Amino acid sequence: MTEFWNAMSVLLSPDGIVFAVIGFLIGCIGGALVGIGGALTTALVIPFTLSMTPEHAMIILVAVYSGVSYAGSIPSILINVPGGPSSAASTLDGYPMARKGEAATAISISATASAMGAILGGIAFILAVPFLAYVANLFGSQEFLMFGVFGLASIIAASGTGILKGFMAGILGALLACVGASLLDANPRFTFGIGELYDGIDLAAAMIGVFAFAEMVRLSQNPSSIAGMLIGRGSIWRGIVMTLKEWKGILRGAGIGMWVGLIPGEGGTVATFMSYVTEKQMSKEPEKFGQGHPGGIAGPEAANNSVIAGALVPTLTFGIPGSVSTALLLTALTLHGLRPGPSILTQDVVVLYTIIGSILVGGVLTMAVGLALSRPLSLLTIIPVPVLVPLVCVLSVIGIYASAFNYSHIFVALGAGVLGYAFVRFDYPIVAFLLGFIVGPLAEENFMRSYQLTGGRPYLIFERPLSALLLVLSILILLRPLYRAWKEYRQRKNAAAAG
Amino acid sequence: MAEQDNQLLEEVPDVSSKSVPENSLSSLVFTAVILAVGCVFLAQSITIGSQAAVWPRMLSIALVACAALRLILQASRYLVGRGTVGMDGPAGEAQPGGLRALWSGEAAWRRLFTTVWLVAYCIIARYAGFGPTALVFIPVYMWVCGFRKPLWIILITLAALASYTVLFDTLVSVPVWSNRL
Repeated sequence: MTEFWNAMSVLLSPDGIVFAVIGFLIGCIGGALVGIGGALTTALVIPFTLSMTPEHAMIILVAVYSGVSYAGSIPSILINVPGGPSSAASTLDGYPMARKGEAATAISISATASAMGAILGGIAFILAVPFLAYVANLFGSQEFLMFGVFGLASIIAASGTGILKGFMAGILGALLACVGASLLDANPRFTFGIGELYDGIDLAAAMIGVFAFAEMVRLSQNPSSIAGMLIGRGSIWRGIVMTLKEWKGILRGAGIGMWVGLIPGEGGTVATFMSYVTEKQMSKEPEKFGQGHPGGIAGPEAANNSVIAGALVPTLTFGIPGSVSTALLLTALTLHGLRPGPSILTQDVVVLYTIIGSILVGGVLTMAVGLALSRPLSLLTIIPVPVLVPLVCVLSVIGIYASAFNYSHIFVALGAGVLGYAFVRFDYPIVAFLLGFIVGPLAEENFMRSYQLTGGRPYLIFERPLSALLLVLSILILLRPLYRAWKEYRQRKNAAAAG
Repeated sequence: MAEQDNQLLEEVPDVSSKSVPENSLSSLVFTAVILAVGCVFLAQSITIGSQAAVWPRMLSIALVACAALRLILQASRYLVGRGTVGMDGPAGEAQPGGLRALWSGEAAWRRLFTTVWLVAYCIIARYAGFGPTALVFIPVYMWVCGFRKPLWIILITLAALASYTVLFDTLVSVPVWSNRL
């Protein structure tokens, strides 16, 4: 409990609160700008956090995550264009409500439900920590290796772009992470005689390249602003009252969000749509869904924000990120010298509680700052793209340099940008690539340890029950899309035979 | 339930840009590039004589296998598409989102300009410094890409550079205005 109060003293200190507010505001700006989104915003903030203490860095990054999760719904509601995929469900009832002249009411529902979802998720996470510590201690190097495989399998299966593509992206990521001095004997691997590659491919540079550069090139094709006009009015108070009336939906949404967040690769989009469908089915007036029903905003928004806590469980406990944003948080933890996994539950407990506390603070900020700034934030949707692109590009370039004071990292980021753009264009899952890149070195370490422990007979890994179970689960998860495709094929065949 | 899900997803606007079709030549070439990368890594890993080669060798074999399988599958689809579409090219290249569509028109020009301008910024900033280069890079980009409000361009550029100076020079000690990087 001492660690919990130590974390709270850091979090609730003037510095902690200032960092949380700054992070939340940055997240709101990134979330409200269509095309920027959570991943890019987090990637851009990471270099600034490197000179901070790990606790302050986590406060600012979790606050960014909270801000993005909330503000993504602002363009969804105002202009029917989601700030990110996880905010897409909010367009279904948020935009019709805005068209009825109730935009402020819809934003207020979104903020209140988001805050409640984040707070419920944070509380559930605090309660789960002792149990997670017990589970994580059951894991040895073999189990970690297999959990890495399980995480990658989950993300590949959930990516929806095909198993082969997912595998290729993940393996390529892990292979590129091998570049530089070997973990085993410090001899250089795959450097091709380039001295700058001896330290490996810089994680921060790769992240910013994949997200920022690729996204800016893609966004630059649009000559105008993200939104041409704004629709606003309604009542913030009315929205709060309407949200409180939907308390059952918020509880359901928060539960769905936490559960879905636990599964690597699923994330906010799945959670919000699951919550929307559940609310529609359980509502006494399902016919009003799609026409501006508050339940259609409250449930999904609660789910979208409780996902944060759920997704952080596998990220922190096992080092397996559930989404791109959590992959970036994992990157930040690694850059700060912290090692996600069971050790964070025993050795870095203050950082862990700071992260959980930041989720709760993010919930409070969503309610207080988010509601107050909903109108100014909506103005961000009218920034012209030709203004946005050079500003983000220059920020990214200086940010990469600031992360390690090494100019060659900027050229690494340019290369990563080309790869990121190609991945988007050819529909390869970037999350699988990132997971491979981040988890690759950890997996190699655990693999080599297991290899040595089993005397060069790696199949003995599966004599351990938990490892075998994780392998079976990984295979089942990978077979799921194939089974679905086979089922669809059978249905089509039956329909053709009947018709 | 599944029907409802599909209906809901159809109502959501597509915010992502269109992908290049699977059965296009460019998609085939990209898979071939990944295969080549896998082969290069495999060849390199063979030259490593220690246990440090085990993991990357396994990965590169897996990458080569996956990429080769995908290449075969894509090539068969490409050839089938070519047979049905005729001499004008395989299915996909002329479709919306295809490579030809991707690199034609004003949108393509904008993407190309952004890429070239960004690379130029990265190269020049090394010798001239981040700040002085941005002083040219930001306003010229805005003007060329269609934002024709000179006063706003000047104000935005100055405000952005002031912010970068405070953020990076003051807080993180990055020499924004120096060319000694």
